[in-house]
Amino acid sequence: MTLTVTGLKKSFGPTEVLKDVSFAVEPGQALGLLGRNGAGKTTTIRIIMQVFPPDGGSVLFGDRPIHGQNIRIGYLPEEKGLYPKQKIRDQLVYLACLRGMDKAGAKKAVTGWLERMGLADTLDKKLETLSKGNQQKIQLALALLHDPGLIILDEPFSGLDPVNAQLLKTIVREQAALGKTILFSSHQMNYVEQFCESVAILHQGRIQVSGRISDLKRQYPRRSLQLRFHDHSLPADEQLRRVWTQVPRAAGLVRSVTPAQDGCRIELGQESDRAVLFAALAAACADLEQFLVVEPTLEEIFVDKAGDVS
Amino acid sequence: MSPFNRLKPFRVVLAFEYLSYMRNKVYIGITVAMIVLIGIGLSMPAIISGVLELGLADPGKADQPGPEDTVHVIDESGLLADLDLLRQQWTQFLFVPGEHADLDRLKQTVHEGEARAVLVLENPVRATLIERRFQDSFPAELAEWLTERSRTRQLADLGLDDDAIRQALAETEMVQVETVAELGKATQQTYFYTYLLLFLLYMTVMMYGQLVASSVASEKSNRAMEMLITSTRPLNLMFGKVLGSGLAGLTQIGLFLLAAAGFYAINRAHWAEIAFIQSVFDMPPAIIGYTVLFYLLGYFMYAFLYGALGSLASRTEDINTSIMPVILVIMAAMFISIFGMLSPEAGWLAVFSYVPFVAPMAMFVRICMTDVPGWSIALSVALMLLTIYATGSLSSRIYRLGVLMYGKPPRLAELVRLMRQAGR
Repeated sequence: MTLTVTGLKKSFGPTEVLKDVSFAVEPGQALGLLGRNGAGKTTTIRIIMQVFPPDGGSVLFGDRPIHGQNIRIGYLPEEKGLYPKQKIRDQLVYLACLRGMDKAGAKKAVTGWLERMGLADTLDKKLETLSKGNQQKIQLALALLHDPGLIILDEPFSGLDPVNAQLLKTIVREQAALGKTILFSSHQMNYVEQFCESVAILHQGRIQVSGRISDLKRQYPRRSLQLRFHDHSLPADEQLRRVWTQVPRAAGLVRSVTPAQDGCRIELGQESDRAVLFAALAAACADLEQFLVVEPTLEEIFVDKAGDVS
Repeated sequence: MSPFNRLKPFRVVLAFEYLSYMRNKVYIGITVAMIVLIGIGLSMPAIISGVLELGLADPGKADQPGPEDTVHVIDESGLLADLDLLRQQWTQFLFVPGEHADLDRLKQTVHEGEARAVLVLENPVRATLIERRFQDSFPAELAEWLTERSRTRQLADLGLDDDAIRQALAETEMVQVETVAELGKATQQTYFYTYLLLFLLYMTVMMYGQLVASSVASEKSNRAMEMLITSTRPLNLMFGKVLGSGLAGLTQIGLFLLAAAGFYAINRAHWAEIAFIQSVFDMPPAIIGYTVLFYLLGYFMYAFLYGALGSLASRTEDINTSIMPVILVIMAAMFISIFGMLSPEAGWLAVFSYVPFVAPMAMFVRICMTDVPGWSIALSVALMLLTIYATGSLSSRIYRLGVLMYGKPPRLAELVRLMRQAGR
């Protein structure tokens, strides 16, 4: 089912944290809610989790508002912590039962998920004896063990090493393939890009931009080019200077040239100048080996949308 | 959802909280330590008599007065013809006649521990006793004895014979009868156990209440809270926790009472002569029932407040500041009730036995020590149940807001505003 968030508003005292937050997550999809520190990611997620009510707006799952425990939500909070002095099995079974599982089912699910996480031997240990990363994996298991239809992970990467981040990625992919609706927040763009097809960038209490990452990138003007020349002995700007002398018009289209491996990177003034430059290069430089249009990275889009100093 | 299913999360919380106590090493340690203390305390007479027997078997320890037990007597009144009467009365001392001229030197020997005391009889109605430090009832006994001596002498001087003197000096024997004694509520019988049970009530409510507060605050500080409140309603968490701790408390009190009864039964013979200990163990069985009832009422009344205030503290270190108001209220209730024990029939105590937060203790005192009509107990209990309901729902709301508030605890006005906001 689709998670639809519409027009959320929330103030804490005089501080308006959320001004107008709307986005939707389709089933089988993982949406990354991106934003800088204090952008309102955790507030949005806590409203969805009914930790506190919004001042305005609505949250629907399918066509029903989320209310009480009417749908099963798997939740990994930003503030991660459980009972340090209790055995892991005891507290996981307890929390699973609180969310409506029966005891036998809960025990089975706990064992299954901890095996999956490679932590089966910690079942009877106290939580405080585990490393921070492993404690976080325990919490992730807790978020998933009652087979929720909606999964919400607040900053799931913090504290995970690359191997565990990979495990998290695999698990999220699996859950998405099962048709679960997945929302997670992060400010680690490299992970987000690998993880999900869609993002929503939250900035100063509003969604600045949202959609599929590939669409966002396509909408972005592509003014960056990667050039490579066959003759490595000659520096790239020397090669280009020859081109400019033959096609003087082309020189004016280029805003900047940065040397890069085996060639250079060029920023154009306008996207439409690309074809002109390509024609000029094709005509004047027989040595050209590669002419690549560089997509903007998610990080560049993020800095562009949310980068201003607030 | 059926009502049964609705209650399921509450039962899950209750079971988890209760079992957490049963597995908690500190809880187990305190319980065992208290039972051991109760055992030692109630076996004390047996232990002491055992030690005394060992002591008596030692010939070196014979009860003969030594030089340090010397009492120098300077008789200027002529009241004591010789010191034999004194020697018969107090065999543990060596009475030796002295001279007034030696007073300073004798005083010095007393100060240095070489003699026990100096007694100066200035005239038949004035005596001075000098000791290094008064330590027992000897001065009082001596004064009484001297008074009798002096009166006997005066009456004899008036020409009375021994029988007449004995009659003149006889004290009136007063037989005290309280009509409430027929109800088993005579002051002497009830005072000691009422005091003991009141104190137990006070200690347990305070102790288990604080456990609730620190349990809530620790869930907050180890950040388990967000998982909990997104898993079930705060009402379930609050009621489950309070009831779980309450049952853990009841388990502990039950064990203490059982241990006390058991050790008393073993040592019964040794306690036969001590009336107030007997009064405790011979208390009417109904009082035990009332103790449990008022423990539960008092505990719940306060535990919800403890829970709510615990949720306002961000760290376990802040709890003490946070729960101070509740502690003050409990202490006030305790003092009112102890004061009430001096005049358990007083009108003001009757009034307090209906006032929420004071009622569990005040009404308990009245029930133990006086004859309280059934309707009055019922009314007080009903008022307490209402109060518990009110504090329970109020506390769940404070808890809901408090649990995710970190940093400085909110002021009262701010709290009210937030609660209104959340109540919409």
